[in-house]
Amino acid sequence: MQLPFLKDKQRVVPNTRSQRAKCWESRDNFFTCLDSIKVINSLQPENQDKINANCSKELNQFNQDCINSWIKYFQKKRVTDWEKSNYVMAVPKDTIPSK
Amino acid sequence: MFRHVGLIRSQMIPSVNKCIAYRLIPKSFLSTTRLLANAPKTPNDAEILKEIKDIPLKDIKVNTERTEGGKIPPPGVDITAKFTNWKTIGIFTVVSAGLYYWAVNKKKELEIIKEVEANRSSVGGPFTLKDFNGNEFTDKNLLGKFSLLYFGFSHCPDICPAELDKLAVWINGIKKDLNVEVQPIFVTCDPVRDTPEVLKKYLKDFHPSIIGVTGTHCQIKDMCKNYKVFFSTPHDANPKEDYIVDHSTFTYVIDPEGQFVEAIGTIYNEKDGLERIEEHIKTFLPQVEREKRLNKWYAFLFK
Repeated sequence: MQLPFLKDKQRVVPNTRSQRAKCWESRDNFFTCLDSIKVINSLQPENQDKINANCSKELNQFNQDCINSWIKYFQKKRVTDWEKSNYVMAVPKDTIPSK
Repeated sequence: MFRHVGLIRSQMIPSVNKCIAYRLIPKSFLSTTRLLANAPKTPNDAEILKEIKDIPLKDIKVNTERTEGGKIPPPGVDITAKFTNWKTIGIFTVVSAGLYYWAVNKKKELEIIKEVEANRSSVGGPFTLKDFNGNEFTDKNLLGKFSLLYFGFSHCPDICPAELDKLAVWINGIKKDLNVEVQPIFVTCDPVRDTPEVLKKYLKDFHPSIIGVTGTHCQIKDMCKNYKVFFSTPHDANPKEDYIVDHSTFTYVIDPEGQFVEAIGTIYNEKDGLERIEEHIKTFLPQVEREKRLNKWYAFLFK
């Protein structure tokens, strides 16, 4: 399967304030959709069918609005952020040193 | 003295007439006791004694209320009562609250000074770079004003834009609160892509006073080493390539003598970061003064 953003690798997204805001918004929309289908890692091959079936619109917008390198970065970050928050939740309360 | 005793008594025993009081005057101090010990002579005397007996001994005060010039303070005025009114309590509370506030502030200030003293010498050093107008930019440019130094790259997806927005808030906040103009500097960790033109265009979005600084990969690497900044740009990166630079995200506070004060991390929000930097500006002392202070007897407070 070919991801849409791989088709036009030379596409240039301007790095301006308004474009960044647009990119972040599309990212948030895409991630909200991923939340609804309970997918954390959107880069995993086994999740692709599920994403294409439910969030293809959001994914396309995300790919269109963001700089190429950011697309992958944000998706990876979603996973590490999730792991981080899970890790913090998993630590029993009394082992966290109080200030 | 005796007159005195009599006077007090006549005041205290309104029922005993003046005449009886007068009869007590020529007696000695112990007259009351003596009278009680002796048997009554006449029924009249017995009456007087009965009246006197009804007065508890502790109520008969002898010479306790004598004041300068022989004047007796009016009844009901107690010297302690004078100072236990609300006004006194109010003043006391205000003074203690003031002292407490002062002590807490001083403690905070000392903690900041101690932290700064511990870190100062280990971070920073000379560097030679170029600003986005093509002028040389070195450590000498840090002298004379407080600088806020940020290391980043313009293709940064989320952290740098957020930090630069904070930086803009801090620049304006410090100007507004302390009337101090800080020098904000953005050093790129991605010199291959961040040309002066790119930096100029990029930084304009955040604050007009931010100076973009760049150099060769080696120059920047040297500076980052001195400032303990980690970054991952490959030496031979292709400017056409699209990549992410991993880097430390701290805003460095540099004092007007070009010395490192503190690295403000991303955990500081707009408000806390502003407070922290302003605290540094307010507690700043030139090196000469700091060294003088370290020779004082109270130097232990700063170590």
